[in-house]
Amino acid sequence: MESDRPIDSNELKVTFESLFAEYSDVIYRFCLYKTSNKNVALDLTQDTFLRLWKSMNTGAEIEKPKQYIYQIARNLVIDYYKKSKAVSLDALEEDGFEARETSAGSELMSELLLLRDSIEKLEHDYREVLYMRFVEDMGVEEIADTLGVSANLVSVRINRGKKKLHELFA
Amino acid sequence: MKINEEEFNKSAELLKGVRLTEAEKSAMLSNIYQTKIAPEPSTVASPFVFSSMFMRDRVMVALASFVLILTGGGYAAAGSLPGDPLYGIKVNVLEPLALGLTFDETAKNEYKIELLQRRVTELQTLKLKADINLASEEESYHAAERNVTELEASAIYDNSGVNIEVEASINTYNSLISEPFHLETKVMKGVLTPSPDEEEDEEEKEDETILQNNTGQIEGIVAESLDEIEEDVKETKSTVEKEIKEKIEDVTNPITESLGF
Repeated sequence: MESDRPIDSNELKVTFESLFAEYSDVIYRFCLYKTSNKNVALDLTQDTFLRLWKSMNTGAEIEKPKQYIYQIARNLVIDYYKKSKAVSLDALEEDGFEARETSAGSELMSELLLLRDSIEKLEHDYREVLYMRFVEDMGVEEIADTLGVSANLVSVRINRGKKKLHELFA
Repeated sequence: MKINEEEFNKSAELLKGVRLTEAEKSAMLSNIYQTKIAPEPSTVASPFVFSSMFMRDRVMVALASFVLILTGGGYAAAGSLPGDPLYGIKVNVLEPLALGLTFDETAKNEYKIELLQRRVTELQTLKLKADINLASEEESYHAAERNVTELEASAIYDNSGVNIEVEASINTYNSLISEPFHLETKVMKGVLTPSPDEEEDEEEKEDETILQNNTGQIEGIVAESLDEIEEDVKETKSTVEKEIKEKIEDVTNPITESLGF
């Protein structure tokens, strides 16, 4: 897991920036989908890559960067919701916080809410698989690799999830 | 709100097009690079090492200074490594104090992860100095084990009971230390059961069983159908033969009679 040779900071930066270039949009979309708030999504995306940068600086060798980055983002989203539960909407409004002002374009947000509303109605197991399939256009193997589960299981979940979605459409 | 398939696809397409702007990306990278990464512990006592731990809040820095005065050796303790006489002060007094003075839950969790990463860098420094021995390994292990226990007590794990950042640090830590001192999380120890993977395996097995049962049923239905078809064919064959025989007799009998046979 850990390399014995000293960390080359230039090499580290190049690797980090190539990961950032490849996955920053993906993670931003994921955070926006999960939070429906542009500013929060920007913060969570930045935090995700900050943690990645910190880990890389400790010498940790990241074998599956996509899986690793997704997992950090997922943990941060969970953290965000746990933290935001403590702050009521009333308290935020009293402080002059306008939820809509921080949201992205209204058309995008309403479409996003529609999409999330339908996917989140499904059981937990199907949600991320369907999101990755329909929004990120990821293949079965890629989803399996990202989630760290078998391709067979992903395949089953996609098929069952699709059926359940069609039941919702009906 | 009810959604139809067309609307669903439209929403998915719209989200697919969402991207960060170049300005947002540059700002992010700049912020990330400006964030100070915890420095490797140094044997030369540095006041910045200690103060950086407490930079979260001015009050914390003030309290930390108070502790420094009280302990007297706080400076040196902050930069100490496992095996050093002041290491105990660092991990048993300074770090728990800093943690106790962090009130924001997210910052607390981040600090706990940082502490575990600090254990890794301490070991890396010892290895570089070739100054690692059984006593220092044991001291590091006790500190790291407490960090893991504290991490497990906090709610930073996802629904599958995993925090990949913690796991990566533990794996790196274990690669640096002798086997008896390897760290293990509850998931690794198997205390948390059934793990999500096991559940998934069970689900997969269930799917396979359903598939096998269905295959058996289908085979049975096909076999029954084939038997029925075979019987039908036999019956039809005998009926047709019978009818042909009768027709032949219908034709041949009058001829035979007319010829006087």
